[in-house]
Amino acid sequence: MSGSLRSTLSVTEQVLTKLPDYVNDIDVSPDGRRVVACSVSGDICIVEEDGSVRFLKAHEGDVVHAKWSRSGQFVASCGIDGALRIWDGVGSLVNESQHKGWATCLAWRADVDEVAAGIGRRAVRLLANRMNPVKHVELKTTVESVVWSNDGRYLFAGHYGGVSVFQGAPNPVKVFPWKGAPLTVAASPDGRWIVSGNQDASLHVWKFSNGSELQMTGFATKVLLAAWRRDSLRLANASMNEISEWDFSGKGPKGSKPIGMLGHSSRIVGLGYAPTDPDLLGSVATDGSACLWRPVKSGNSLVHTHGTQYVFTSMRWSTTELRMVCGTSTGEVVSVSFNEVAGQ
Amino acid sequence: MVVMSSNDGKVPVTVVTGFLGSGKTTLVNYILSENHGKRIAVIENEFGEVGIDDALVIDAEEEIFEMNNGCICCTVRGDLIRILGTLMKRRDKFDYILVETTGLADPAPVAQTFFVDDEIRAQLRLDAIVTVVDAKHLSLHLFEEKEEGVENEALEQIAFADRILVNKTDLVSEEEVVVVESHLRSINASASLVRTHMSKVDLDWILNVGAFNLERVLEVEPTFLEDSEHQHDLSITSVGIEEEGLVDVAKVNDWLGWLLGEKGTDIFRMKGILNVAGSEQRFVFQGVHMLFDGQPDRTWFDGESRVNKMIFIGRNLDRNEIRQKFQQCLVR
Repeated sequence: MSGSLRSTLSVTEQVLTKLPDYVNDIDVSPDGRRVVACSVSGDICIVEEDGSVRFLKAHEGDVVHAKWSRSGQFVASCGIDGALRIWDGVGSLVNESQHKGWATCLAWRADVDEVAAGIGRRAVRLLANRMNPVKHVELKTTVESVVWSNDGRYLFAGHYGGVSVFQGAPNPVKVFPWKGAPLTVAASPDGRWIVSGNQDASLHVWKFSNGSELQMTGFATKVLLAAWRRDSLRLANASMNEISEWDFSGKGPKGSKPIGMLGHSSRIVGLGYAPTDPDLLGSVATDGSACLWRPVKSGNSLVHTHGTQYVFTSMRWSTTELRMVCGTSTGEVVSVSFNEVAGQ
Repeated sequence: MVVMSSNDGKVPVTVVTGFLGSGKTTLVNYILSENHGKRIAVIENEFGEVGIDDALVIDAEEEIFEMNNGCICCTVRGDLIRILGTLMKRRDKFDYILVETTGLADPAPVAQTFFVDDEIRAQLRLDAIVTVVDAKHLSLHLFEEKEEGVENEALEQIAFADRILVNKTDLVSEEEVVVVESHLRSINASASLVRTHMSKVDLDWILNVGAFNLERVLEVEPTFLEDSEHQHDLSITSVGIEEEGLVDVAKVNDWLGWLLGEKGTDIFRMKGILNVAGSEQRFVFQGVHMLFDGQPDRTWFDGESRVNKMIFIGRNLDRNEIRQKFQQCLVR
């Protein structure tokens, strides 16, 4: 993609399948060929590259998250029934673990087929290989977000009071304290930074090596979404209908102002850098809009906006093309492709 | 200071509080069993003795978050935010929410959740706080000696209430009920009271009453008992102001800002109607701790007595100081 992208795009929209109700989460397999989505109905669907769809009754009540393993062999799901389950690519149950409380978050480890989930006040770890025991750690409050370091060494759990870092043992090896409620945690791919989006409308940043911290405040609402660019030099976050991008090059964003991006008229529910062009940022909102951004310090960062009839609830980029897959409040799984127009 | 707002078209939420054994669960079961045509979701912190059939019942584990938003007393219920957020994804399946708190719950974080969390504010409306009291054992709880710094939950649940069910009246004499009611009115002069047996009450009296709607502020005429013979040694009381005259809007703004800054932690609820100089409209306001909302309301009617009316319910309130400071806001 080039800098002339703004004037040479067309958008193709396609409904891949429909779940019975509100889509809570959506994910694309690492090879870009398959999509998984989960619903408040308790169902999961796996959409194959040829368009065929497999439906699973995965949980009692809401399936909160469903995600592909980094190996692409498994799907993990968790629900408000307190269950964490691992499925193979054809929908057979591989392993499961039952706990008390609602599941809130889910993350696969990059180097091993091991998944972590926040269920009630536990951070639970489950391997695809049944021979290994389930592990969990207890925290004092509900685990709102789990994320692994890119090398798989550390598991970060966001909870009221900060972010705890685990490395095998049940006690945290580090705690990044914050007198507030982190709602989402994002670790930079290079391992230097830990970021939490918080209930108190702030973004909190810690340097992993020494725990030094920064805080960004003044957001309109709580911060539910934060996404790192692949090179760890940029972080984007969304609060209500506004996106901010922070420059983490050099010594980090201390004292700097973010690039602000306004293009949606309602709450942003999906945010991420495009794997096929990491300079491009994508976002979707409950107003049915899908936006493509190339963040610039001065001028207009908006590359393209596409309106749909849907209330979007979630979004993930395809790993192989400039295509978003989105969940909706009425159960549709929608593909939104941004295509270069030839000859312009 | 955070501004609250109330809009129609949102799902109403009634919070049911009350000390242990007062009859909260009986009330919730009674509401669910009555033919009111509402599809109700219930969030409870403790399961009662009676099973609740045909209703969406969710068990919650109380989790209180302090907010770093400049309000030192601002706390919210993290568990409620999660559960209400999940409920709103299927809002076509119900049209009313009941939150039953534990007997030991502080109502402030529950109430503040509806004003502080933006997603909840956009979709839900706190309708009223309904407190059930046990007429037989109330005095025991009210005058219970607590260690310093430990809250008396029974007192706070009454202080926050919009509606109070004086329950189990069959277990006490008429004289005892009168004493209980006088205790209740001295703590919270703006709540409506009703005597009940087995928590049976006209549902229109507790559901969809709009107690947090600015338009209905002080719809219930407060009964200020401070000058009556019923004086009680309770740390939580109501201070009422009823005074004619025009108020200077800048001065009253400064005064309310000062009051909330200095006393916000101690003021549980406040409501008022003001006669603002230069305006033909009533100015209405209300607050929960430091959360404050105010706006111009309807035009004063011809011949209507333009009286400023306010009520403050809180701990260790200095009645004379509040009155004197208000009087300094009047246009001379």
